[in-house]
Amino acid sequence: MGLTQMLFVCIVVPYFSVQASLRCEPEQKRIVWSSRPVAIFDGPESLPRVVACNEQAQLQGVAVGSTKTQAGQCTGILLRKRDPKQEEATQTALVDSALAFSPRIESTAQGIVTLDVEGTERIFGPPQKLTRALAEHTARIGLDVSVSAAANPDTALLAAKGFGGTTVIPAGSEATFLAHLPIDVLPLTPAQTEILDSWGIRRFKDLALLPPVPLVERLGQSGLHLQRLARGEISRTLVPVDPPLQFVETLELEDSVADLESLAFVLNRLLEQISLRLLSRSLATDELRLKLDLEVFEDRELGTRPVKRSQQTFERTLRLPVSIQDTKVLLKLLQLDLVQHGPGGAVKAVTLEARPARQRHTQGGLFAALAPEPERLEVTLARIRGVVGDTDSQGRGRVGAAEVLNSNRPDDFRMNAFVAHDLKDTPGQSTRPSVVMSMFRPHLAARVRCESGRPVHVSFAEVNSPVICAAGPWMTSGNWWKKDEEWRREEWDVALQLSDGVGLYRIFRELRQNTWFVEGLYD
Amino acid sequence: MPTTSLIRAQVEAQLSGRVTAPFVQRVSAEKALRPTGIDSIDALTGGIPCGAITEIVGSAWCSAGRKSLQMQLLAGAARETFCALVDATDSFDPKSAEAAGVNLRRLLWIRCAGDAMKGLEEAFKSADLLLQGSGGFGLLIVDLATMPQKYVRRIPMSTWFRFRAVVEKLPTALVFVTTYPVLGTCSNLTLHLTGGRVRWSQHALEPPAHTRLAMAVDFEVRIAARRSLKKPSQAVRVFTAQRQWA
Repeated sequence: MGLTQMLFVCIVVPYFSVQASLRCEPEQKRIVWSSRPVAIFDGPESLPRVVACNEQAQLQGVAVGSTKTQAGQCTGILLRKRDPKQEEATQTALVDSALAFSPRIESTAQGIVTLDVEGTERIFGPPQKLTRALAEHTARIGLDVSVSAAANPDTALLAAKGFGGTTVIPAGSEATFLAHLPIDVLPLTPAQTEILDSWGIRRFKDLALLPPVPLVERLGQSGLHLQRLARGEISRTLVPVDPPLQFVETLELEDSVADLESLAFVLNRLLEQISLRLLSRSLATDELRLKLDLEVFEDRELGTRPVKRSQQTFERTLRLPVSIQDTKVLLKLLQLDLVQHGPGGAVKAVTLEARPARQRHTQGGLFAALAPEPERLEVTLARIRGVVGDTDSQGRGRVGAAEVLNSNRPDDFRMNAFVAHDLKDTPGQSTRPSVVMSMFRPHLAARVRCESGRPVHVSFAEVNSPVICAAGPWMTSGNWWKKDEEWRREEWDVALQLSDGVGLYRIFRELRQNTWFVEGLYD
Repeated sequence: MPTTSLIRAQVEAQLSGRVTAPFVQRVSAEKALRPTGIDSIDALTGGIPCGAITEIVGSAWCSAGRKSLQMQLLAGAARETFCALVDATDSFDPKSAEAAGVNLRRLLWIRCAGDAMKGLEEAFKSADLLLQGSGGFGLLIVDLATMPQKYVRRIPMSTWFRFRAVVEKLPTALVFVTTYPVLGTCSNLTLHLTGGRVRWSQHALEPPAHTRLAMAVDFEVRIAARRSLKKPSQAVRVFTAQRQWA
């Protein structure tokens, strides 16, 4: 066997539309449905027609072009509406799978991908092993495929179409291998089919044995091309594709889903598909965009049926501080987010998009600092956000790492995502204890009595005390150019004698309203 | 009349296979200590124990030094590991913390709603999730410092026992900051902080006030309880926290 000349592998998805439609279903369901007659219909709502069906449906008399009503009479048939987005996503998934084996791939047609595998023997082993690995890999994305390897792309394609499972055709034996394939595997026009049928040409070998000159006289150059295809003699250049890094999966549901638990099953399936595709490209994701098409009904009145109002869209974006590929973690994060921000209606269609990011590589070490595991930490933080909330009244996050902003405005900070990356050690600038303020958020309203412009008595909350010492005033102001955000303050540090000690407080007078507040306690 | 040794042998025989050495007193291993960064406290205690609970107690409305001690702990711990602060009343000041040398990028800050009982509930749930969910934090501080006593008193003792049981298996130093001692025997170390003395740049009542600055605050710390082989020291130590400009 001329292994060194084996160059091309072709993957063909039989009954592509049917498989694309079932791909995002749970595995058990998909296996059961695959053994049933399935037909895909499309067209105007008044007269939908079958555009694709599987072998079981064909055996029961369903054919492409039958009306939906005719197909529906078939026992146990599953009728699904065609979804072009799903077919597109399936083709992209197929391309992504192929990219795990070779960088030079051609998206030959819908459900067909051809790979140039020259030089990959040392990585994936001999062609037999490679074709099996490809079939297993595509099975993981929910596709049952035929895989064939040959010395030229067209022979590989015809073999994949004609033979099921995996096939390897050694160089020089193309004609022998293809000889018994039926003639309809070739790309024939209806006229050519009729002519060849009238000649009694049923198999490849019959066409291959015809004399070329009379064949050209009767069928033209296309006849010769078909004969050369049947002999496995045509060699063409592959047209490689560079697929964009888009990881989108869509699923239109037959019946709308109202509860989050059922929705989680759908999300899990979509995430599994996306994770596998990301894995094929050695990528992870750092952002998930979820789009739900909702079905909203108007209030139901007694004795009337609910009226379908319109489809609304619900969108959520989940930004992750670290790139993640684990389906379970991503699903948990989506679930926790949806629990907090529910879609508010029955879900009719789900679209999930993952933004690709480079995989995270961490070098472990004996002396590495103790750090939380990023994936588990993300889930924990999402749970905590569910407890304490996402943001405060000023829109600042409630969970994360604080960052002090370069501003004169008091208590001005923002919350960033907390990332448990190993940071370079930044030795603290101060090692001696320093006085730290304990803030009151929101500030406590206070009653302050002043003498000679100086506070002498302060009362707020449980405190009602004379001032034993005061320092100030310090006038601060800012944002005067924005009407709503302007602030002007007169600040004082006051020491109050309390029953169990001294309290040193920062108080201030808001000059615009002439009201006093306690900002914090030096503790 | 059976002798003590006979009874002992009988008990051991009854419990064989279920309890190994029932009469042997288990001596808990000495906990690793994380220095507080304050010499006067470290000289007494060596630091706060990891895999155990430390309680920092101080009066609610007084300048007792609870925050200053917290920041020293965080500043020291964040140099080596990741820290978390569960802030029940949203009282943490990032600006002061940064000035105190805390690496804010290594500090996970959880800001609870601060609404009395709800804030308390959120703080405990968050601390529980952090300990059981992800782990990996070297220091976890649960700040209940400005939480009214009447709410803190409602926390059942079983909650503290549960936290003690969880943290015992982790290398995390768990610190609760409260207004009065509530943890009882669940805490390995209790530090009681009392009233501060403010040091001013000028004499207290001399005008003008705007030229006067609070330069430093002296705090007193007392080891109220300590679960270790050593007897608790009742010595009162003083530490001084200074303002940034001092």
